[in-house]
Amino acid sequence: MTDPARHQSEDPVTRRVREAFAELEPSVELDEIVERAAPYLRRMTRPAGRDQQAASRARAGEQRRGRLTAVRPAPAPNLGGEVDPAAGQPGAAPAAATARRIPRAVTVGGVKLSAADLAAARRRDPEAVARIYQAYAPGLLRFFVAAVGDRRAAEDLTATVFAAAVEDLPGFRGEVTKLGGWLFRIARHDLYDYRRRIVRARAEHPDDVLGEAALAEDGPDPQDLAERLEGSRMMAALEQLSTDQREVLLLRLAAGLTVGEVAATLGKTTGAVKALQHRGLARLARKLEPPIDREPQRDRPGRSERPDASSR
Amino acid sequence: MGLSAKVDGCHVVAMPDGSRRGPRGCSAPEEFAAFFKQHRGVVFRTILAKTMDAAAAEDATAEAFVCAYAHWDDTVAAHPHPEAWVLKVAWNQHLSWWRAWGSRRAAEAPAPRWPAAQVPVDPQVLGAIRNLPRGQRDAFVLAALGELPPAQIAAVLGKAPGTVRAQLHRARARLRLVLGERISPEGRDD
Repeated sequence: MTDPARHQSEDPVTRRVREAFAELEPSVELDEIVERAAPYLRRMTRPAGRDQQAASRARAGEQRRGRLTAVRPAPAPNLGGEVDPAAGQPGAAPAAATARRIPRAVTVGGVKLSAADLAAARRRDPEAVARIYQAYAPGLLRFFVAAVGDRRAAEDLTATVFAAAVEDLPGFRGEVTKLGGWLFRIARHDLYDYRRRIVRARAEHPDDVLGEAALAEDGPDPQDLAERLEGSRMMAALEQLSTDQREVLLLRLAAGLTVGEVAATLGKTTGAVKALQHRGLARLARKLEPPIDREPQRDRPGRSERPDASSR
Repeated sequence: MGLSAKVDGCHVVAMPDGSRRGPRGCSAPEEFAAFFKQHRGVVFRTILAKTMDAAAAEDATAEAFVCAYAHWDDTVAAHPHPEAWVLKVAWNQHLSWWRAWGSRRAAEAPAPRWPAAQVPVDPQVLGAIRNLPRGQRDAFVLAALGELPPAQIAAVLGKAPGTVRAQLHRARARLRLVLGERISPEGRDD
């Protein structure tokens, strides 16, 4: 495909297009590819049943490949929801049991939630529901503010999520640790419903946007306005990401979910979430840094857009 | 979840005897690294020209090479045209991604998003590619940026080679008209 004969015979149009696109390289690195393939291949080598022999055979195969075990991803840094190991098995040796233990409690936003709280909340015990609200409401609110850019709408949406959650909690069968992912899954669906409503409203009454109308009711809240202005540059930068990248960043940074929770919310592997976060942040950083000495695009396409392309 | 689960764009199939059939990984990391280095730019530029969305093109490129790594031993290493294989995966990645999130994207972005300013390419070239009919654009993008011969383009798009050749011919004729006056006899004007 790179043989010189074909390049000689290629027509000027093709050459022109190739030149226009030359030098554009993706910021995708080999490490990322290998790291993301690893958990996927582990899934393959893991035995279908609980056959110990097959398990050790699979592990041996993995080690033979060497590279795979070497790049096993490091444990994810906890941003918000922190698993509380002490509440799990009180007497267990921490190092040996970490892999197997199912944590019975999580600490989110400074509030400790135990399995008992979850059970009580399922019975609609007001105190337990309040604890869950305390734990997750700030994160949900940040998520919605970042996604919608309108504090009032974000508060409404947060309330809607909890209304739906309290309604559906008896049907939620997961552990406490899965509660965050479950709540944010509801949040995400509500967000799309909301956006669809906005789009429809905009299509029907082009001049009167729902959010704008709500704001105009009693004048703009100055604090709200400041937040919106400050956020607008970030929002513009977020707009430039792919949908997946944007969602991962919102859930990770605005809502403060762990990698595992984001993966559960979006139905992706943790490797995919980490890769999307990495690329999203890199892109965001490029978009947000001030545009210093932009060269004319005609001369060197791609260079002004990706100043770090050569160093990577 | 039924018999087959989709992980990172690849299928893992559970067989009746309890075993699983699917990717066997990569036992030649150096070969893969060389393959990756040589083709990642081509894949990225091709998908970029198709989508005009750098972020989506990067994602599709990454997904395709993850798939290539996972399937290196069982498929890609022995494939007669590995570069066409990875391009096809990236191309379809993008399509399935588009299909899966179509409704959601429609809700998110009411106006069709063509952030041309985001793609640092001569706007005249971008506009010319964008204005081609889809069939011609797909074939031309795979030929010019994917650097594939017509037979491989046909395999990627699932079309007959003759169709692809005709579309390529029309695409080039059209582009020559649009970009014509800026192409000097030698092909470059710098």
